[in-house]
Amino acid sequence: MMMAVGAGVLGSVAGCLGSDDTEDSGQTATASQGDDDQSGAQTESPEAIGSEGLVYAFASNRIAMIDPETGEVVDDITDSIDENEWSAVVITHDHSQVFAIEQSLSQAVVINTETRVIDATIDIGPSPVHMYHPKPNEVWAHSDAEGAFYVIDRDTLAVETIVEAGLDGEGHGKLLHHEDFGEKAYAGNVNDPAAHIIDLEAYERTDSISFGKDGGTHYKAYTPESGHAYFERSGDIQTTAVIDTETDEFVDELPYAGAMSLSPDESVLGLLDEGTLRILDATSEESTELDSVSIDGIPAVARFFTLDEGLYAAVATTDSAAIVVISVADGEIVDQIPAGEVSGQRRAGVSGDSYFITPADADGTVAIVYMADRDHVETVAVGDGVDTVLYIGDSGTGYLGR
Amino acid sequence: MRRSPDGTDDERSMLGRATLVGIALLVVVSLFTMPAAGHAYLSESNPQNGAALDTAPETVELSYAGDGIELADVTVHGPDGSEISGDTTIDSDDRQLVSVPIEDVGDGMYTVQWEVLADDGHTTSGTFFFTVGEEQLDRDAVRDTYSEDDDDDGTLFESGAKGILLLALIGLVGIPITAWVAVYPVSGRITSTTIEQIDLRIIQLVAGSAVLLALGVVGLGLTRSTALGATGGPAVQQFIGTTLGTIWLGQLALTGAIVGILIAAYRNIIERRAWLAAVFFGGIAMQLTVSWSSHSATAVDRLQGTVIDFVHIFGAGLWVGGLVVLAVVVQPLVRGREPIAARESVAAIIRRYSIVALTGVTLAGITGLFLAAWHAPTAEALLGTLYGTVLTTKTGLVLFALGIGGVVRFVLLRSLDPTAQGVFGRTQPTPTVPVREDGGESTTLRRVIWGVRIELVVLIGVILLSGMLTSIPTAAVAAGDEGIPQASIETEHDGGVVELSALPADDANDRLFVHEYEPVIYEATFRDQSGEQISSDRTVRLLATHEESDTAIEIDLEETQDGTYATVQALPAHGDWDLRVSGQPEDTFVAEWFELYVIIDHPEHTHDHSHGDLTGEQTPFAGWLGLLGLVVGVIGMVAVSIETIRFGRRQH
Repeated sequence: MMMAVGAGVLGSVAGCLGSDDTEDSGQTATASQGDDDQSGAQTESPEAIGSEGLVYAFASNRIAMIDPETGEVVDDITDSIDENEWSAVVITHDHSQVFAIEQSLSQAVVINTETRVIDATIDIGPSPVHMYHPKPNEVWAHSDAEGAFYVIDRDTLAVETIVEAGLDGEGHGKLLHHEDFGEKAYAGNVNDPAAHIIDLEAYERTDSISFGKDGGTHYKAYTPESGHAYFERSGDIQTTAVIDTETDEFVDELPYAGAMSLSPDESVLGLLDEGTLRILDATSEESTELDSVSIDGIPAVARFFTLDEGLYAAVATTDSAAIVVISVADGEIVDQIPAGEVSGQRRAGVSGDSYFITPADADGTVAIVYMADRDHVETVAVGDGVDTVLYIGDSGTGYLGR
Repeated sequence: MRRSPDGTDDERSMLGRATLVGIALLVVVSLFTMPAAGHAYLSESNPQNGAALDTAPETVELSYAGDGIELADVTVHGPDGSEISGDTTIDSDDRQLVSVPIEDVGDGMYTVQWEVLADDGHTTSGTFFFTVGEEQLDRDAVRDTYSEDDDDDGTLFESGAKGILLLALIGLVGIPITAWVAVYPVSGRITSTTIEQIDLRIIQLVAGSAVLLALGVVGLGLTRSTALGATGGPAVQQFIGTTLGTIWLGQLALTGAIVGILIAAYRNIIERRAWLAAVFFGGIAMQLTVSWSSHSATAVDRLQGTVIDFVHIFGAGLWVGGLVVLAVVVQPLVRGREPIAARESVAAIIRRYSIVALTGVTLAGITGLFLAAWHAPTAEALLGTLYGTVLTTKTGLVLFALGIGGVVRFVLLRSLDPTAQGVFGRTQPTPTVPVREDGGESTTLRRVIWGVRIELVVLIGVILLSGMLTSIPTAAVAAGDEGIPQASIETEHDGGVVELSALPADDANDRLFVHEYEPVIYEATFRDQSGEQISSDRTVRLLATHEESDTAIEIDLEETQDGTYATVQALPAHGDWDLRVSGQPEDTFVAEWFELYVIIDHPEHTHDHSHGDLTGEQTPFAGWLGLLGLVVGVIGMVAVSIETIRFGRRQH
C-alpha cells in the first residue's frame, strides 16, 4: 500500500477532532525529520517561564502562544516546524507537557510548557489522529492505519509498547478513559461494531462489548453520575449505544448519533445530531432528552459553560463563520459571534476557564470568546493553516488527566 | 626515382620514410583522441522504466545511446504474461529510435523485453516495465530485470569466426608485402626453379588466407544475422538490409575478387607484382571494413577508432604475415644449396624482414596500447574481467614471441652472418658455423627455422585471442557492468541494527544516492545485537519525505523470502529525502531515519547502471598506457631507423 500523507488523510478524519471530548481537541504538526536524538530544535538552555493560562495555537509553520485576556501572541515556536499537519493535542495532567500529533511524519511532538520549547519528536505509528493521556506517565497515540495505540512513556519519550485495539488491524479509533474505570478503558473503532475493553496495565484488549454486526463506533462520552458510557454507532447505523461501565453490558441504544460533550457540572450531555443539539440528562439511567435546539449549518463542536445566568453551550459550525451560543435553560440560541472562516474541514473548539477558543484556518486566525462577556472577542492572527488549539489549564470538563 | 640495381635503396628509404610518417601520424592521432560515444544501450523509453500509468500506451518507444540500431526485437508482455506487441520498427530518420505498438489489456504490470543489434555487430538486451492502474512493481521482477540487462558475451562461434578472419587479414596483408620486400629481392641470387617453388608457396599461403577469409566472413555474417534469434533465409535477408549486412556483402565480394586474383596468379595470367599488389590492397580494403565496425570505431570514435584498429591489424600483419613467409619459404631457399650461400640468403631475408617486422611490431605496439587504454582504462578493469584476462594473456604471448624473435634476430642471425652487428652495434666475434657435410641444413639454420615456427605458432594463438577480444564485451564495458550497484546503510538502536539497502544505488557519507524516477528496490533488515537477522512483529513501513517540497510518501514493505522487507519505488523529485524505516522487531517499536539524495535526471543523461561503459575514460591507468604507447612508438621508431641504416650500410 502506498499512501500520500497529506491534507486528504487529515481531512478525512478531522471531522471528529473538534467535537471529541477534551483530551484530543486539535490537530497536529511536523517535527524535525531524522531527529534521532529526539531533541528539540532549540538547544540553548531555556528559561522556565511557564504557559499556564495561555492558548497554544498550532499553524503550519508556527505554534503561537496567546494570552487569551489580551489577545496577544506572547511567544511562539517556529524552529523545526515546516508545513506541519497537526492532529490531536494533549496536555498532561500536571500541565507540564503538551503532546501534539504531526501527521505528515507520523510523529508526536513534545512541548515543554515551562520552557515553551520542543523537547522531543517521537516517531509513532502510521496515520495517527487521536491521542490520549489515560495514565500519568503515558500518552497513547492511535494509529488509524493499524488500529492500535502507540504508548509513549513520558520519561523516556519513546514508544514503549503497542496495544492492538481494532479487530481488523486498522481503522480510525478513539479511547474512552476515566478515573472511575480503574485500570481499564474503552476503545472504539469505525470498523468494529463494539466497544473494546482495554487493560491499561496489561496493554492489551481483553474483551469487546458487541453492539451488533454492522457499522462501527466513533464518538464516545462518559457520564460519571449515571456510570454510562456512550458510543456513536457510525456508518449506516447512526444510533448511540449505551453501556453500563460497572457491568460492561450494552444497556440501551439512543436513536440519534453524533459528537458528544459533557457539561462542567456533569449534569447534561450535549449530542450534536446533524443540525440539532440534543441535551440529554447525564444523571439518569434512561439518558432522557431534556431539550433540543436546531442550529443552521453543520455544528461541529459544542462546549458547555456555567455562567452566572446559568448553563450555556457554545457551538462552532463548520460552514459558518459564527459561533452559536445557546442557553440550556431556555433551550434557544441567544447569541451568534463571528469567529472567522474555516477551509472546509470540521472546525475545532476548546474551552478553557471561561473562554471558548476556536481556530479559523482559512483566515489564519484564532477567535477567543470570553463567555461571561460575549462582547469581548479577540481575533488573533496566528498564521496559515491554524486549525488546532489547546488551553493550558483547566478546560472545564474534568476529563484531563486522572 | 633513383633506383639501385636491386632496388634496395629505394625500398629502404621508402620503408623508413613510411615508418616515420606512420608513427608521426599515430602520435598526432593519439593527441587528438577524444572518446565520446558508447555502445548501443537503452537510454530512455516511453513509458519510462517503472512508470505508473492510468492507461496503457498505444506504443512503447525506446531511445538508444551510442550506435545506431541495425536490428531490433521488442516484445511486450501484458499482466497475464501474454504477448501484446506488434512489429518492431526502427525509425528510418533516426536509427537510435525503436518503437512497437501494443494492445491495452488492462491494469497490471507490463514487461518490455528488448534486444538490438548495433552498428558494431554486437547485441545488447534488457527488460523494463511499467504499470497501469493501481498495480505496484514487483520486487523480484525488478531485480531480475536489472540483472538480465547485459551486453552479449559473444559466442565461441563468433570468436572463432573473428579469429579466422583476423588470421586471413594478416596473411593477405603481411604475406605479399614481406614477399615483395624481403624474399623476392634476395631470390634474385638463386635459381629459377627455386623461385618457382617460392612463387608456388606464396600463392598457396595467400590462397590459404583467402580460404580463411571466406570462412571468417561467412561465419561472422551468419552469426550476426541470427543474433536476434531468427534463423535461415529470412534472417540473412533481414541482415542484408542493414548497414552491417551491406558491409558483409562487400566483404563477400572482396573475398571473391581475391580468390579470382589468386586463380589468375596460379595460372600465370597476371604478373607476380600485379597479383601481390592486388591481394595486398584487397586485404587492406577488407581490413578497413573490419576496423569500421570494431569496438573502437563504434564505442570510441568512428574515425579514430577505425584508424587505430586498422593500424593495429596492419602492424600485426607485417609482423605475423612475414613470419608465415619465413616459416614456409626458408626451407626451399636453403635446400640443396651451398651452405654459405644458403646462410647468406637466409640472413639477407631475415635482415630485410627485421625492418618489416620491427615496423609492424612498433605499429601494433603503439596502437595496441592505445586500444588497451580505451578498452581497459583501469587496473581493475584489466584484472577483473574476461577481456582483461584475455588481453593480459595475449600481451604475455606477444612478449614471449618478441623474445623468440629477438633471439632469432640478434643471436642466431649473428651465427648465420659473421658480419652481423650486435644489439649495440658492435661486431661480435664470429662463431664457427657448423655445416653438415652432406650439404643439408646447419644446426643454426634449423634453429632459425624452428624459432620462426615457434614464434609463428605463438602469434597465431595471439591472433585467435584477438578474435575473442573483438567478440566479447571490452573490459571497460564489463567493468562498468558491475551488475546492479547496491548500497546500504545501517543505524543502531537500543535493541540492534536497522539496515536499509537500495538497488540500484550508491552510497557515500552515510547517504544513499539514487536516480530520479528510477525504480529502486528498498529493502529493510532488522538485526539484533548479536547481528542475527530478526523479523518484525508488525508491518514494516518506509516513510519518504522530500525536504524541499514536503512531499511525503508512506509505503508498507512486503516481507521477502529472505526475511527482509522490501518495496520498489521511483522517487518523484530530485534532491534531499529523508527515509524512515519503522517496524517492531522483538516487541520493540523501532523507527530509524536515513538520508537519501535523488540525482536529477536530465533527458540527455543516461544512467543505465547495467551498462556503465568506461570506454575512453581518462583514467590515470589509461594515461600511463597511452604514455607507454608513445614510448614504444619512439623506441620502435629509433629501432626501425637503426635497422634501416645498418641495412643501408651493409648494402653499400
